[in-house]
Amino acid sequence: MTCRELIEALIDFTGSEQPPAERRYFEEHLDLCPDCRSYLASYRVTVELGRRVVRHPETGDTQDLPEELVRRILAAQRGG
Amino acid sequence: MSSLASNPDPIDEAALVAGLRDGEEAAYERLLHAYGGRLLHVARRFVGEDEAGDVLQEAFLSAFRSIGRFDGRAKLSTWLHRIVVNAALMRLRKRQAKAEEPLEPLLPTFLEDGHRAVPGPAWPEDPEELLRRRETRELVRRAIDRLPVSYRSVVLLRDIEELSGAEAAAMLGTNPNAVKVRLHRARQALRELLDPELREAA
Repeated sequence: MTCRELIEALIDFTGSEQPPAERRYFEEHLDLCPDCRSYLASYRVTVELGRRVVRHPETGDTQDLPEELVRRILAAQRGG
Repeated sequence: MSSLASNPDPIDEAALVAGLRDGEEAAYERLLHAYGGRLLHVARRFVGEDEAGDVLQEAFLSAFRSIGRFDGRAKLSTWLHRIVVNAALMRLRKRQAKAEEPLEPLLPTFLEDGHRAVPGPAWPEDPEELLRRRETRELVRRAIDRLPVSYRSVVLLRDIEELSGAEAAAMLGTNPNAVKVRLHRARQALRELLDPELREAA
């Protein structure tokens, strides 16, 4: 397995969709290749950062809809 | 599972749905108060602050109209979440009048022997450490915004809203394999955009 093939194989990153044989080449390559180890680590961090930053804005996940918007939507519903 | 899976205020869903079916304004209002705040955040993730209110309005009007088709197999929160995501995607697509920028410049390149052409220093491996830096949040947000819409949509649907590949494909009018390919390319591009700032040496 080359570095290119390893990075292509990350398409199955979240699943266990990789057949075991390919999984073995994947692990073997990783053992020998520091560049792919660091690529894989940064790929993981990228996904995690996206999740954490976008889903949990530091402004706080306020649960309340602004009253003005509630009124607006109800008015639009009456009007429609 | 959506981010709305655990509603802290248990509400009587059956009674609420009955009220909605009867077209009671009090039920509409209750629905807005119970779910609107979180769904406004969902809309914001896709279209930004300025248009999130419009998207939410479209979504709720559509939900009021189609409540007859809610069959109770999914949770009400999940059903609403999908309607909001759909409305947001439609808005994004409308916005995307001109052709997308190609993603290729943001994908890794390789030498003939299959090695990465430009290997760089490693990143800190602990996302917590990165998240403690304020600028990381802004950086990640800007990077996601820079992705072409068709790629950003896939990242939002799969990684952020946690829809299944099949669900995301249905919403985007494509097949699960195409979603998988696009998600992988989008993640690689995101990694590339973040790399100059996050590599350990920086």
